[in-house]
Amino acid sequence: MARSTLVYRRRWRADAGVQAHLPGLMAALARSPVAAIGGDVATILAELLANLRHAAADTRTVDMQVAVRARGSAAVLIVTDTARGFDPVTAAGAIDPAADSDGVAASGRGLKIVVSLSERQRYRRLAGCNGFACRVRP
Amino acid sequence: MIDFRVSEDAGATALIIRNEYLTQENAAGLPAVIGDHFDPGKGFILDLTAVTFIDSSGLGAIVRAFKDKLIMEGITVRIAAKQVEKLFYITKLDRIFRIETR
Repeated sequence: MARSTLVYRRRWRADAGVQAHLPGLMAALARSPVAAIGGDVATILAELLANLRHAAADTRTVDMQVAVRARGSAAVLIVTDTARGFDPVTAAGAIDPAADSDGVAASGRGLKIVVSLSERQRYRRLAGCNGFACRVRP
Repeated sequence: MIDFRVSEDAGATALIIRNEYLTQENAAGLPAVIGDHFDPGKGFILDLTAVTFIDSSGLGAIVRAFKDKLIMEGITVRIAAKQVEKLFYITKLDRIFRIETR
């Protein structure tokens, strides 16, 4: 198995939105071995955040741990959160696609973007935490 | 909040967005801004050259702004950032809008 390098790890607060995190994330990615796909990594994180935030509307915490590892020229993105069980890709049908604003991100368009930019997506629920990982295409 | 200015560009209305990011947090106001400046009798340019990052909410706001207009294909979207351009292609919005890259 190829060795991987930790590129970025932070706690994200979903209620702060993605914009607060973008400068730090983009700067870390620009200095990393996966700089060429930094925009794709940031895009996927933004869409996951939108989906998790939407699904966690039960007001429980939606703090997330976000980690990006470089593996060769691809990035492996790992997101964990303690909101209610929710796979942001396969559970998309549970979201009302007619909803405005948040719903636009949380419906088909955002998920199409996640799937288009990544090769593999994996969801696991363990000890009350959601874990989502995907490999971003080089 | 959408930061913008409006200018004339070769007879068309150019709506120049000055936000660096267009995401879930600020995109909701975009349809109203576009609606206020869109004139169906003129060309329309949505200038996103200052936008370096957009998400599906940003794209959704653009689509919502124009979905009730009958001449969506006559609208030009001007883009500079690769990430923004890529999302227009992934979501096939390049088939609806005329994309101009800088």
